[in-house]
Amino acid sequence: MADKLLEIKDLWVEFKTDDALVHALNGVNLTVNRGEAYGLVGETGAGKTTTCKSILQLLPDRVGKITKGEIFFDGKNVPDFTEKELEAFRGSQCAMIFQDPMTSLNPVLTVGDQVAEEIELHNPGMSKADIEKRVDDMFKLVGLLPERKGEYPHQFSGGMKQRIVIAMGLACQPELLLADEPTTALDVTIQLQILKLMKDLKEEFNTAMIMVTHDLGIVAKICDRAGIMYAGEIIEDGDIEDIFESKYHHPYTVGLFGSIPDLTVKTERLHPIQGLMPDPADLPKGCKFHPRCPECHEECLTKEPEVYQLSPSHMIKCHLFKDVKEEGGNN
Amino acid sequence: MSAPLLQTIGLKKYFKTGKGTLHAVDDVNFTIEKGKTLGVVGESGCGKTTLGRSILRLTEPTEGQILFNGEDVTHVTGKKMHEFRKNAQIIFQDPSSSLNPRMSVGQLIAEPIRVMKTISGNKAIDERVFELMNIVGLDERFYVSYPHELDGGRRQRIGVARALALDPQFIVCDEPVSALDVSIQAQILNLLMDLQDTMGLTYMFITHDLSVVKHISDDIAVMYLGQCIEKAPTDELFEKPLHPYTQALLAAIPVPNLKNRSIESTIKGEISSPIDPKPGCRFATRCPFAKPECTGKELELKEVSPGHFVKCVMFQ
Amino acid sequence: MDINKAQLEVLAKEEPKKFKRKSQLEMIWIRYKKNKLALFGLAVFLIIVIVSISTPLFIDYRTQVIKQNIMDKFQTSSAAHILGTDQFGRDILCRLLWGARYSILCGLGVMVLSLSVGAVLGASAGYFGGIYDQIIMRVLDVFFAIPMTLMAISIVAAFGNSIPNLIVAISLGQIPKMTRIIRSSVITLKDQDFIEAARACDTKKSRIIFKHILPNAMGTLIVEGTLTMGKSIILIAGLSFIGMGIQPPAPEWGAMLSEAKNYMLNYPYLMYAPGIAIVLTALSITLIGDGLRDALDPKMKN
Repeated sequence: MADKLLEIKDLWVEFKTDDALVHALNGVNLTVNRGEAYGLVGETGAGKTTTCKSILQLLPDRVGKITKGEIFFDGKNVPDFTEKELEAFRGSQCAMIFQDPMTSLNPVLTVGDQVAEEIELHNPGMSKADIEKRVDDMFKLVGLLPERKGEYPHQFSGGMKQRIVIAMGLACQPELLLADEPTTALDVTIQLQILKLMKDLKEEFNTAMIMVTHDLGIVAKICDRAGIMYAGEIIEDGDIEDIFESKYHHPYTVGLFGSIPDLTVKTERLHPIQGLMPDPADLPKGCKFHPRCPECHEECLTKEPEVYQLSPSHMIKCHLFKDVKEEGGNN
Repeated sequence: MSAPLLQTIGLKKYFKTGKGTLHAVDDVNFTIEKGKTLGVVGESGCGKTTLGRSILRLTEPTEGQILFNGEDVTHVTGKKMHEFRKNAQIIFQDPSSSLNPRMSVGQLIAEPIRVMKTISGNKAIDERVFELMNIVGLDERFYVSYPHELDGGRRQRIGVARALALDPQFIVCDEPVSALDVSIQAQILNLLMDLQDTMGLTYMFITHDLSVVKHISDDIAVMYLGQCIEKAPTDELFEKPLHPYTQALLAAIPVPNLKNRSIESTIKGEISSPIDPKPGCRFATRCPFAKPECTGKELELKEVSPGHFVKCVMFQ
Repeated sequence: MDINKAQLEVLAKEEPKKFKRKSQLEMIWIRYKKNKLALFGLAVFLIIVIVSISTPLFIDYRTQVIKQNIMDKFQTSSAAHILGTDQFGRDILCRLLWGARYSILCGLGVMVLSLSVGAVLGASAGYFGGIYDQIIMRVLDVFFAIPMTLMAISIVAAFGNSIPNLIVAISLGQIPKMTRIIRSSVITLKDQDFIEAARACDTKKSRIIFKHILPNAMGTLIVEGTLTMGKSIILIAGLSFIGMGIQPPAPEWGAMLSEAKNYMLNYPYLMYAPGIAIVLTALSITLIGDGLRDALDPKMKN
């Protein structure tokens, strides 16, 4: 068994708003091993970003709350950390890259200063010259000219800004990088460049990574394992071979694949999932996917499905897979 | 071959900026036949949105001609303009900013009808609104809802219904699914295709995502820095892309299977500035096959096989 | 269209509760209610308005408000005169209640006038832009440069101090600011796609401004309007205090203060009632404005 870096056990998160109690996460279980890229796939409101923010304890004060569950990082439970421990944890052990590079950079500081600040914060006592050298190294690493570190964010294009954000995230060589849709705001050709960069860096530093995305194509390119999220739960989890090549899938996963226009096959129509994401303030009983599920039967309306382990690596949370086993199981 | 519904001849749109002239749309020629879809593909800043708005004359083109049903509408005003507006509509990318937040769904869909006075009488207008809601798959109970109460997919359905309200012949779809989730994207794409079948609509479908236009387009035009650099029937473009930029665009789409997991990015750098571009191929700075003869001389969009046009030194 | 049919089925299965209809006004009220200070302001303001409308029902202007009664002068609080009497023996409570109508009337007048002129000027300047915008804004800059009070005084001095003149005089000081605020919100709105959508239907410019732009700028308009009203009530009182506003014997609060100042060393209670009334009215309106600003912002929902 690989070396576990992050283990989330039965995590429940609620958001309390004025007129509703939003169930953002409903028992998320997730494991990321050292040096592994884990893809977290789902649509808007599935709880992908909330999962990442919970790991860093960045849920909005008073509104969001972890009601149950544990997040073990390197064997220690993150919610039990003191403020001081959290400070050390964020950035130097675990860093996050946000979707929109424009909003995660401070427009009135030079990009070099912003990277330097990140390094300084986590390496108190480091000399100015060492920090500068480190900044230069980081710039080269992400494919930017160190000479440009005196410039301001608006002087860079979107793709370059995202490179700077990645440089900031990696500045302290965290063991885990949380990348929240890092390429969604970018053009496809630039997206490819950034994905390549992230894959190379991951291999170079053996950084573990959670790649949050709605794009299964990205998962196929750079992840080792992946989980499909729906309504605050991981409904299918496995190695990417399980996700992309197994013949057994959660009906939602099937629907997701059906929604993607396949460039290699000629079809007239797409086969989307019917209906809409459920309102997290008012989730359906039983299986949360049942109102949209083409395979929905009586049991699904009332009973929440268990997690069925189809193989040591592949699990599906759906009543259909009660007795299914992969590799010579009854079929 | 049916008659072209829309044709542009040498369409240009320049903006004056502090740094120079921004060539947003630079000499674009194409025709769209009745009942067909032209996909316009390009990255942000390539001028595809400006092209769509210039065709509808939401921004006035700097130069060139727009022919609609064989008639020059580039400079028409008054009654003729009114007629053109009735026949050419637009669906926007972001359904939250394209719907007036202070109007209910019913009012939003009725607004074009009331403005154009195509139907008179509140009852008749209401009937038409319900008919439209039915066509786009919006439940009647949303008649009194406000856009902010609905999700992105339903909002975009309102946008579609509004565009259909005047029974247009031609609709510019400006990234209509980019702001939506994948499963909702497919629903809207299917809806647009169904509408085309039943109503004989003609689309110009603008997007940055090649995979989205594959199903819906008959022809695809690829734009780069204000120019159309390749145009071909959809299947041919996907099977035999000729321009290095088109090839790179196609290769850049992450395919959701494990057949090829390596990441090869053939083109370097990013789109250059559209302000006062130098003559010659605008992609040359990023092109892996760039040669000295790429710069200096303006290239032409050349037909290399029937219906397949490309603007590249290799095919001149 | 199989998708649509299937979708409708799914929709039918959804709980209707999810789409419980709340009108925008209702939503605004729900958000407004949460601000206790704003509720207090609204309550106080409503009482003042009701008083100012209903006073003629139980107070007679000639006998109770302006009739002098020298025998009863400077009486302190008693059952007959709850707030005492002034230097002419007039009942202070009666005068105070009657005075509310001047403040409310002038305040409302200034609000309506400056808001409507500001809305038309600001919306057209913002929407059309260019040279038209330049001309309007430069002319208003001239007004901006003159201190508000000074301008009001000079206008009243030149044209006399009737109530309509006062309203116009004070409005002139408010219009430039109002125009600027509305213009800037129109400029942000006019680049939104829904304006483009309206243009794509050949919508007339006036309809775009009045139907699409101004309703969306309403939040700013209402808030600015209430703040202006609060300010102008104080300004009216100030003008009356220096004798340029509403003239005695009319019991305008500022005028009452002005008369009271002559006796303030010996009879300080004369100043309390009108002073508190002015502050309370202005405060209540400002609180309402603050509350509305938050309530009209949909982002405040959470």
